[in-house]
Amino acid sequence: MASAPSAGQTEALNGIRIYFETHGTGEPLLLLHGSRVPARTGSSQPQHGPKLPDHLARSARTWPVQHFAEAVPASRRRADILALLDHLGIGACKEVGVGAGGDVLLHLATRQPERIKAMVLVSATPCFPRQARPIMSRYVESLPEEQQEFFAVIISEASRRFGISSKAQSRLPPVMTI
Amino acid sequence: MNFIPPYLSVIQARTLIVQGDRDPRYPVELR
Repeated sequence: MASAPSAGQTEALNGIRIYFETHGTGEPLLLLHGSRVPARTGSSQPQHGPKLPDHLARSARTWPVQHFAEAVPASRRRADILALLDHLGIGACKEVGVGAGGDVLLHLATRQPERIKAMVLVSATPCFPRQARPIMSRYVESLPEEQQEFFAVIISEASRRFGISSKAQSRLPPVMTI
Repeated sequence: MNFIPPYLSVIQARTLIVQGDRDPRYPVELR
């Protein structure tokens, strides 16, 4: 794989704009962040902790799409990641997925297992057990009012852009229902 | 989509699963 020309780039891939960063020139490692984490490493790196790995590629649907990742099917985001890997000339690599990024990674691992050498799943879930659903339904209500309004706006935008079905909308927490 | 065992069984890559107890939505009790 060629060395990364710059850290942050935006490319039109798979019908959307994808923002991603590449760092270093070592063995590729793909990091997929969660749905409520800014894509730019400058604003999302932990202040304390290990340094970024030798090669890091981050991707996200360009703002504001990345912020309502949960409203976009993970299977669709899997195709986005495959397009990004193809664009970067990466056949298979080690991958880390956090939260919703981990869910995307699970889709990738079960559909294209040959694209993953090893993976780390952080706070990703293969299913949402019954106990989780009340927690999920109260999550948005627990946020400050301005963040609740923000969620309502981005879910509305997600519906407009991706044609979220009324059935899917009915499964959203009340404040997120359009 | 629920990843039931038949789906997960195709994964051959070494996998590390990390679940912390500070996640308000999915605490470690939800396994």
